[in-house]
Amino acid sequence: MGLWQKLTDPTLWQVSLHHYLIVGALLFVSGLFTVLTRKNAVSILMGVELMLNSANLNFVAFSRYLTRVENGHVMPVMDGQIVAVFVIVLAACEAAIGLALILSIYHNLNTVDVDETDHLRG
Amino acid sequence: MIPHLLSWMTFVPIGGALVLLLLPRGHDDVSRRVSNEAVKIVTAVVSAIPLILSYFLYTGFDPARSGMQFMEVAPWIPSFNIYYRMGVDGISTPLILMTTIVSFVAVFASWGINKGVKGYFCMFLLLEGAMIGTFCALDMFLFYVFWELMLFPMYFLIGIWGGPRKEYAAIKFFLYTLAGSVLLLLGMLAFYYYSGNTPAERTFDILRLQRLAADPEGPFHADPAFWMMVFVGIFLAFAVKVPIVPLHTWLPDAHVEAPTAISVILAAILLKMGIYGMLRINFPILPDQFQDFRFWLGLIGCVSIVYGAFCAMAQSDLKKLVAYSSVSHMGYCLLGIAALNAAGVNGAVFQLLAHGMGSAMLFLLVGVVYDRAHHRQIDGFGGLATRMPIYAGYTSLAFFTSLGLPSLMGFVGEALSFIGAFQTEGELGSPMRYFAVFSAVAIVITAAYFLWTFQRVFMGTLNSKYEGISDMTAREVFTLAPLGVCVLLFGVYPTPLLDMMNVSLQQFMRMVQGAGQ
Amino acid sequence: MMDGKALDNVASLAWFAPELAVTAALLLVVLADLVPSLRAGRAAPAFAAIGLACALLAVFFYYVEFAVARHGGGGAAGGGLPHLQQILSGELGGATPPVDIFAGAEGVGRNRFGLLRVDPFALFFKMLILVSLLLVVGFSWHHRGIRRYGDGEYYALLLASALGLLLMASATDLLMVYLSIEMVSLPSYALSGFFRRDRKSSEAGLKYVLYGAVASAVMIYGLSLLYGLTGTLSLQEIPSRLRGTLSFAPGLLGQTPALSLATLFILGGFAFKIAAFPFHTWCPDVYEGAPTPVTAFLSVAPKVAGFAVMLRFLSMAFPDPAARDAVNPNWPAFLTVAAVLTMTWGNLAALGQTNVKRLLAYSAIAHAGYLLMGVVTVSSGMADAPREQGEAVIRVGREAVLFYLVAYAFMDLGAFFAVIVIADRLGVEDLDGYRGLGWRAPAVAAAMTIFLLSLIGLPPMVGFVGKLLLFKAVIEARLFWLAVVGVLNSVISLYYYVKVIRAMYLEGVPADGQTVPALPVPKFATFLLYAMAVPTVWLGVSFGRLYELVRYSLTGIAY
Repeated sequence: MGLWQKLTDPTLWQVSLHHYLIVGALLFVSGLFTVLTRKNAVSILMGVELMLNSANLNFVAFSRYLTRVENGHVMPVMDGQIVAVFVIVLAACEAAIGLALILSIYHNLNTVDVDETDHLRG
Repeated sequence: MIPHLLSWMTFVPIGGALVLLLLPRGHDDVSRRVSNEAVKIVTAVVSAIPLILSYFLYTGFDPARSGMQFMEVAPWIPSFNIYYRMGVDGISTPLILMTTIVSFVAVFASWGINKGVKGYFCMFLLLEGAMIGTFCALDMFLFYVFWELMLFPMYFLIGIWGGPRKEYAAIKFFLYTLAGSVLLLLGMLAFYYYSGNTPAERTFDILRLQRLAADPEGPFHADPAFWMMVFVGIFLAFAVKVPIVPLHTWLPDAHVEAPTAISVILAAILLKMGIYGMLRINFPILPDQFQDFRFWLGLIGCVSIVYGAFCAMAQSDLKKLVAYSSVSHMGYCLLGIAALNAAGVNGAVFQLLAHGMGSAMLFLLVGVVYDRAHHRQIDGFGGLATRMPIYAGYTSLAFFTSLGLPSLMGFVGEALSFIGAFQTEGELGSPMRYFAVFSAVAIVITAAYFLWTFQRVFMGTLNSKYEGISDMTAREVFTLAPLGVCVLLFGVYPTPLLDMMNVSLQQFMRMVQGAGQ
Repeated sequence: MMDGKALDNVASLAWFAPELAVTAALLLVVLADLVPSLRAGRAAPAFAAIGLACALLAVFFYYVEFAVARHGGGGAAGGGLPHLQQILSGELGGATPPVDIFAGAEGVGRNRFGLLRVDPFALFFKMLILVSLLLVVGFSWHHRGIRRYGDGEYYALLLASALGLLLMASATDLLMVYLSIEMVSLPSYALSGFFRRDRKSSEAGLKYVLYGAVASAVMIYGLSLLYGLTGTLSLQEIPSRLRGTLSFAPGLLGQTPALSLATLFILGGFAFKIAAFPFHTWCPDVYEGAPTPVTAFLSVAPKVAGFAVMLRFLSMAFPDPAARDAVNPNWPAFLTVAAVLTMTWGNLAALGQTNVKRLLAYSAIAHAGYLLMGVVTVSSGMADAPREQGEAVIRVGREAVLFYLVAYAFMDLGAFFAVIVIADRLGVEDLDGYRGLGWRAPAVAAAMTIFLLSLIGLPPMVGFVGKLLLFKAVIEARLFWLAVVGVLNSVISLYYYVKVIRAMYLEGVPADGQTVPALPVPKFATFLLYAMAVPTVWLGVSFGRLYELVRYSLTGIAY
């Protein structure tokens, strides 16, 4: 089978659960990478948002592909989508508190660089 | 016969410690002095009570009976089959008698303490109660509680009222002993777990564990390699206290820094705990492993005897000399036990008592001279015999018992241990004889360093600094007298003590025969 | 009472009184903060204390209901007090079915299992959480800094956190697990940064929120994977799903590695709450920087609730650790590694500390490691043992964890309160400032010594019994090497705890005849200190009843 045939095979371009999961995993890894490498507290929070959204993507994708049989009818499972809504709300709360604390440290130290906030060490 | 005699002996000092806490503290100089005196008198009274009770223990104890006497059993934590079990046999009774005598003496040796008096005597009484409790406890859990309860009073007693390097000595003592006792904890849990298949059958009862060990099909004979690990762990726990070479390094530090009375307690009683624990728990519960281990036990004993003696010889500080002589003397006990015959084991336990009395005297005597001269350098004295004749007399008594002069207590213990080692039967006979011969070298060295020290301190020309030095006061004479009497009396006539322990030691030897024999 | 079936939302409220009481107190505190006269008075702490006490009472009644009334053949909720004697004498009943609550409106059947579960296990943890929160309120009552920055906000945040903690103890649904943990975390971030103008405090808040956000993101990712693998959010349903075919069968990673990865991520989230490896690094900085009453709170309450949710998760989702017939995430291995690294790291790092708060922070990490030993009493050595024996060993481990948590709550809160009292009187948290304290403030120093000896694990303190039970469990699981690592750690820990005792008693000793000025300590503070010191000693001598309570509390859990 030639390359052209492979690329034009419709099953290859059909989006399946795996694709969502791979995107989710990439998102998670890039979020984690941001968290580990950035020194700016705001950037770290943004990395966390990426990680949270990767989980959301997983939840919604799983929810879309999961089904449940009730009284002979195949019913969709909505749990995952509900979780995603909660996670979005919590992400907002977390960002709010995080930014408030970043603001307070900025007032005290005039920096949001986590390397410079090192008055606590043992 | 007094009911609950052992509980009274244990808990009167502990209760007394709490009573001391409630005594009012003085607010001005006069009332503080009064309060300090009151604390000392209360302590003397409280520690006299176990002494009086130990008379009843002595008269009520039937040496002809094997097994435990004065047993007390009460449920404590039923969920884990933990019982409050107290009892004594021929091994623990003489040790308890010695504990009450030495503790009482030590109260008077502490009379000079005038800093944090209440705290000192409070800790002292707590320590006394815990020591008596350890010798009485027949439940592993209870034993462990008392065993650990001795630690922190000792830490404070050395650490607060000690010499210049007291903090280092105190933490070293604490760390060494705790490191040992956590191994004991693990061993204890292993015994507990394997003593029964269901939680209801499991037990901390030392006597039941000993009986389980006697059963060749019992759980302690199943996996020899595993039990050897447990045996060595528990042995190390007790060996730290003995102490054996090379785990002895905490001892000279602790002794040198501790105040006189605490050195006395440490040498006379705490060091005995190690051997006592081996005789009560380590060897009888794991007899097979003990049999395999006897060679090493003899070797460790021999090394401790010789190494301790050489170290003592090299010391210039009187207290350090006595401390190393303790290491050397405790080695005889291990040698005697390794021999595992009537002479050896009797000698080992007798040596416990002899060393208890002898080292207590030695430390008290060092304290006497230190109070006057404020140093302990052997070479810093000279010719003291002319100014302090009573002191010289007591010191010669203590030195002679320590170097094993016949007709004194030290001789009986050492001689019996040696005889035992020479008479060892079986395949261990030949190495044990070698150990005995090597150890005999140490006797000569011991004699040498004690006599040499005596000569340097008491003979020769009087050091002009000590022209006006005074002889022992009445309190000091009174403090040392009971110990001196014991050393002389039981040196000439050891039979009552030997009779007391004989039956129990025969039982011990039957218990440790193991499955192999 | 419908046994075995979850209650609908309205019926659930009968079992929700503690949470409602805390919520009511929270609203009252917020409202009282708006009224100037109430703000000037001490309305906020009073409301908080009353609300927590009411919640504690309600929890206690529920517990009695389970332990005595329901077992004794029925009787409606609230038949408590006549059975008090029975509870105190340790005559507890047998296993009673748990009550699952908040399963949605009747008929819709969205969630057949309920979001929360009320059982002796949850109630035991709720009691412990509420008692420690009441003590924390006591610590904060006279704290000057907290009054300066505003009572109302402080107690509102504390109560919000308390609500989350209570939910954590009950959560049986993955969503609820996540929400309750976040509900504890969010107010805690604000609490640790509560002294806004204090550099250390805001730094502590920032560090806490950054680490916490990462940990929670990792956990929710793990939860999403677990959800995808099992197709359910209910912990009760997970075991049956693991036995059947998983939803995206021959998939991305293969089932076992995927499940292991999910479990690892979820455990990571729990590790953050209990300050265990690898999410322990926030702990010393946050503990040192946060206001000390907050530190006391953080070191106990979230840790207790974290163990509750972790034990619940493990025993409901993976009830059979040998799991011969199901996909098996290798969680005991993860947690064993975490336990060893946590306690060793905590103890070694504590050795060099001179700030007492920071020292206690490292000690809190080490204690998380000890506690984890009790969770992992499942070993490969047990694989050939009969199943009942394996279950018995796991149960023994869990008993030890619960017991140790009680011991830890008393001794750790006590130690932190002693730090608060000393900082309040002397303004120092450094070891040098503690010199000679044994002579200046004998009552405080003596209590602190009791707590420290208990933290070391010396008899006759309760910490000793806790460690004994943990080591007993580890030995029964035949993890001998783990037991040895544990005891060696205990010995290491001796050194740094004794450093504090040494500073208090061995240094700065007044010379002969010299008098030192006594440090005046408020009566209330002394009372609170001994309210913790006395149980620390008493429970060490007589722990039979507490043990029976712990054992009964575990009957509801699978094992």
